Amino acid sequence: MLAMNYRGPGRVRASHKPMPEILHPQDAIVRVTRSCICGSDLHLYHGNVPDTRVGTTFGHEFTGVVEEIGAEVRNLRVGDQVLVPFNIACGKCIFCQQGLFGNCHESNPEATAVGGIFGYSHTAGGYEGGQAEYVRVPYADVGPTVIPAGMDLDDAVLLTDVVPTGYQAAEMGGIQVGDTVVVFGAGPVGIMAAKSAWLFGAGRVIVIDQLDYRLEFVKRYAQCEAYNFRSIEDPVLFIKKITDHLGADVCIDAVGAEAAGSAMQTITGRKLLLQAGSATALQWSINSVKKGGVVSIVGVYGPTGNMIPIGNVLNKGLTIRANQTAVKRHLPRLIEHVQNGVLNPKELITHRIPLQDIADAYRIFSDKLDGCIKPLLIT
Amino acid sequence: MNERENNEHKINESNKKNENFNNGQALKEKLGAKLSHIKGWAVDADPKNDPTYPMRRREKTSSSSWVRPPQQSGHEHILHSNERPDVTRVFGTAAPAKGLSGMIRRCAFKYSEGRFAHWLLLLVADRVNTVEGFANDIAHGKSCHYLTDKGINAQWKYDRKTVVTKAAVGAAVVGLLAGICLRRHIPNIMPEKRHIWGLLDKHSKLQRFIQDYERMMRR
Ligand SMILES: NC(=O)c1ccc[n+]([C@@H]2O[C@H](COP(=O)([O-])OP(=O)(O)OC[C@H]3O[C@@H](n4cnc5c(N)ncnc54)[C@H](O)[C@@H]3O)[C@@H](O)[C@H]2O)c1
Ligand SMILES: [Zn+2]
Ligand SMILES: [Zn+2]
Repeated sequence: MLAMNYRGPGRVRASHKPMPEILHPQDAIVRVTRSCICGSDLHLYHGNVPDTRVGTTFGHEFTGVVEEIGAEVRNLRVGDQVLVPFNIACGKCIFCQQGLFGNCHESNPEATAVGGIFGYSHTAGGYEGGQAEYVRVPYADVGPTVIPAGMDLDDAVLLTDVVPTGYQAAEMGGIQVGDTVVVFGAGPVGIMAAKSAWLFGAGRVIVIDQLDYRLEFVKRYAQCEAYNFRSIEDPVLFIKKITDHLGADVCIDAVGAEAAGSAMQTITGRKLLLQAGSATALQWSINSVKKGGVVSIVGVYGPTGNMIPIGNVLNKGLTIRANQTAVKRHLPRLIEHVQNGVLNPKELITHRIPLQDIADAYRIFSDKLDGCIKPLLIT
Repeated sequence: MNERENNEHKINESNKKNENFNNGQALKEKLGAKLSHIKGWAVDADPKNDPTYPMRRREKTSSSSWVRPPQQSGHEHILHSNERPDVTRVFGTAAPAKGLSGMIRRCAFKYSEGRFAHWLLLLVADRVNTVEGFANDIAHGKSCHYLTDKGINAQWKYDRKTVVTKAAVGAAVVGLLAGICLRRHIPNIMPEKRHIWGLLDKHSKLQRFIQDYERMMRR
């Protein structure tokens, strides 16, 4: 079968690999119908995630058709059309039992701090990903969700990560009616976070990024304010000025480890790897939130450490909330939102690229070429 | 997900919060008896003030409080974090650790996730693995994929300036290196620039390298 194949930082190709097999009685094999490249994949692509092995296949956002099921699978049938949450979760451990599907304790032997994720290095369990024609799906009774009749596959594939992640970013912000919410990052995740902030009752939503085409998009799509930090000398001061000099009630970091905007952070975090990525957006979030406010982090950082103004967290009495998204927990509500037209995820898709041309797809998304917001891979 | 399941899900969520609360009460009574000698114990306890919900549950939980799924076979060969007792019941088999990079990875797993050495060794292993992968590509006649793997086609189409700049810088570096190495053969081309080569000669290591290279070339 054809699959994406990682060759080293900045280099990927499509090549033929053996078909996946059932390795556990609760596995299923899924034939992929849609898959996406995520901002998280770029951390792997740039060689910043430890234990990313050459020859592995990325991809944790995909829909597909169930081709084969293991002996203990009860909820799925061969032929079912499913969307597969990016988390691999057993459904039984104390974390899964609480709906914390992103924190499963039975899916990742290599690290205890993160649950298993499809196609996300051996640090996240060493699973093959969905940027392929077929993929092995462990714990098939837990994650995969049958796509409701009539739902567009383009919407369904975005329910595997981007939509729930933006939604959980807003949820973790503990947004109260009337709150001012600042979202850093106008990538697919930040865009969905801005859109979701309204659903929790925000009174004002502001998005910060450096790419005008994304800011134009989010301004229209999420009906919010949008500013380019490249044309602002000091983003924190700017936010203070437009929020009565008190700051925002909630700041959301939807950028993560590859943030731009501070030479110091970029050199130490992205070039020298002295810290676990550049924490510019997180630093801005902490500094521009109101005293007693909430910083919600969904942008991904590495496992070592980052330079952030923890003293300000203390002095301002902030609450920091963060997590890998528990996709399955949000699906019932989000499916409803998509069906009722409250959310329109597929509008984010700007590119449809054959799996064969995966190297170009990664280059376009990574370098933000050709107005790219979300690239979809066609198998 | 149908409406029934959806409602069920919501009820479960709210039950969980109550359960958390009730268990807190039970625990409070039990501990209250045990700690009755401590004046004022838990007089201000407020189970609703729990910013850690839903990450923490108040009843005692341990890693043996759930029935573990069956074990996927082949777990003996899987590297696992030393912060957990064993391999998880399922695991990925994308790329078993092997070769020199595999040896480094095995070494990395001797350190816990909290140690810098763990992650540093894994990053080093990744870089070694990239070289192994490249060698493998050459062995299989695929070295010519280097540029297409980097997405040069898309970059040429949408971002030609970067490609041209990179190519120019690359050519300049190669040119400079070639110039240094072959300088004895071309001094007459730019006699007035000889002092630059002279400056370079002061770096004895480089000089020795260049001399060795020239000797090799003369042979
Ligand atoms: N927690 C989770 O479960 C989860 C799930 C999916 C993605 N993520 C993470 O969310 C982040 C965003 O993902 P994406 O797909 O939207 O990625 P993306 O690369 O498309 O978007 C990131 C955006 O941030 C902008 N940016 C860079 N520096 C900035 C700064 N200092 N301030 C404001 N904006 C800045 C970039 O211009 C870009 O538009 C990534 O770190 C990804 O790993 C987390
Ligand atoms: Zn993702
Ligand atoms: Zn679990």
